[in-house]
Amino acid sequence: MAAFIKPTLATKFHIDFDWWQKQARSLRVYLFSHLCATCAARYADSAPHPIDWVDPYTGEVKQVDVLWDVIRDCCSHQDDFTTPQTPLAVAALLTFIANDNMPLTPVELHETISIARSPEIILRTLGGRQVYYGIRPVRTSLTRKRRVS
Amino acid sequence: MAQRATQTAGYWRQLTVEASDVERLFQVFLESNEPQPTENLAIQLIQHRCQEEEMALRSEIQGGTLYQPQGSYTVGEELVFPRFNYDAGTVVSQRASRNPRYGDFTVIQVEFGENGDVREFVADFAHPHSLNLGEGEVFADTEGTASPPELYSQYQDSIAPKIVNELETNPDFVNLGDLWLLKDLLAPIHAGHLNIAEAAIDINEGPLPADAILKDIELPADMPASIQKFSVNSALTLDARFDNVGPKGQVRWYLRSLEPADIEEIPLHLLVPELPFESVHFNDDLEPLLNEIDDEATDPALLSPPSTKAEAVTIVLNYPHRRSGTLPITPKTAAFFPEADNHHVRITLLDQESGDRFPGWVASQDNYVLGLSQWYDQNQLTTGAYVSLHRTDDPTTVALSCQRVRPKREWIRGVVVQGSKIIFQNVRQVIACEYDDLMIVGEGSDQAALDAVWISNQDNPKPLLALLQQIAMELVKINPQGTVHAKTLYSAVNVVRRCPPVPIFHQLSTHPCFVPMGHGYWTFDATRRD
Repeated sequence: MAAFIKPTLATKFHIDFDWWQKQARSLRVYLFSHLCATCAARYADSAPHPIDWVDPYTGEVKQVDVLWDVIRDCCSHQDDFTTPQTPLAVAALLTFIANDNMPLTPVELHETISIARSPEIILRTLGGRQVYYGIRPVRTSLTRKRRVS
Repeated sequence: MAQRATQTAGYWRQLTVEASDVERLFQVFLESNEPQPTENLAIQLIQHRCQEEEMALRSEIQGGTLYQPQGSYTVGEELVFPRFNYDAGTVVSQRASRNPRYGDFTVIQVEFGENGDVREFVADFAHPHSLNLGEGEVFADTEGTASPPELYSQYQDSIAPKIVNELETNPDFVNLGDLWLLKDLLAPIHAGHLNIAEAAIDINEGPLPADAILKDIELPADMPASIQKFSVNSALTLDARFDNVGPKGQVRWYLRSLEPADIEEIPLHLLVPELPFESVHFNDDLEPLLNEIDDEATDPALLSPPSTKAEAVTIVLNYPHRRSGTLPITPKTAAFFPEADNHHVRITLLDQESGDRFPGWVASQDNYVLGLSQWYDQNQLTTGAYVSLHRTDDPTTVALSCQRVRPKREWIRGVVVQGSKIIFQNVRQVIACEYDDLMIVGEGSDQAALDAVWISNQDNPKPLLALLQQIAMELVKINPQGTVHAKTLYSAVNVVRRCPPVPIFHQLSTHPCFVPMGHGYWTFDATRRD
């Protein structure tokens, strides 16, 4: 079991694609549900189309559906992409998609998601043991032990 | 994200200044050839520690290539990943890829650790990426780490005292306040130089900065001006003839022989004795009076914040200051006087009416300004007189005025010494200035007798309550209404002994023999003594 490190207001969060894989959940379904009306009509009958997506922070390559770029390039610029009624966790997910999953702290997220009353509320929502939409603190290590030279 | 130790508070909390740090500080002085403030030295030390850490990291990843998306890698190559805590992995395969957003690139499969976990990373990536290093960039630049000045600003409370402690105990360094220099870089200042400095100040009849003194003494021309100045300041600090009397941040040299003899001693009448009392209880009428009594010993937290931009303020002179020839520095008057760099700062006091100028000495730590005895005498100011302070264009010059009136004999409350006792009674005295009717106390002409009573009270202090009861009884007697105002009690008590208003008001409010009559007036009921 992975060690749980209590996140703080300075902890960077991002969407962890491994979480989606482990949970056997389809990110594409979520992406589709947040397409704008035009894109939803355009991609209604399209088959899944995975592309190599490059993590702008780590350089890691993940396969995501092309809808990721569709949302990032088009839908996220629509006025109703997030509204005051959008739940906080969903708003955070959409924010990460819109900024290509660049890691953000609760304080930085608060500057974007104005619906949240404070960074502390964002931290309380995203920093607990319950993981919403794969949003987790950025991992610091890929291996259990440091390399021995 | 990998977090470097130097980026954490714990690292700086546990900092121990080591020989290599001191060596770095030596280099700073030798390279800059000028005095350095503690902050600069601290930043240099932080930079040194960050560089050491960087070197250690570099050495740790030796044998592995630092992963950058723009790089090309071959199967079997070992890579180190900076955004994954410098974990290392081996390239096990690669494939070509394309994304309309980025164009063509390569995807490498990298195997990590003993369990063979394989992850994919981008390579041959022409698109901009934050992990790509430019010419001369180091890993730290990609990690968004705080710079040495930023680290100093965050952790200076941990870092600065340790550096100061190290430099103070190291005989190779010398300091003047916050400025440091290597002793070996000091200019040679000999006895002749010091004698010239003494003469220059004497002739100037006022304080001189090091720059002015340097005009009269010749130091090696090739020596930087900042070191010359530092050397003069350092030498004069060590010579007992000289005294720094400049305002905070400005060193100005004066001769101790030209200063008042007791400049560093708090005048006898201003010494506040220990007056322990458990808590402060005030009658509602009393608290506002604290603002009307200009007593430097009153806790500023009990006072309303004064206007710091006022061009003039008026205070009421109490007996201790009248007798000592001093002015109180209270929140109301503080903005008019410069803060001393050392113990006291020499200022010029200007009589606004006559234009006469005379020296004053601001003892900012002890909250008084010395040098007004003669001015008080010349203007026949009595206890309770109004004194006004006015700003001038020069922050070290303060103008003074009193509200002069045509001298005439008036009936006022006065103090008379009978043997070893003092009595308050109405006396006729020449008055030459406006005064606060509630604070005035005529002191008569027998100053020596009053001083003797003061010293006697200081050596064998009577309990404040007993003294207050005695004085209240006498003052109530000479008032036709049979009352005494709290300010009058304060003023009268302070003719006999030094006592701030708070302990007096506390006694008034907590003993039933003092009966409040409203508006700050009290009467005394001897039958209700505790």
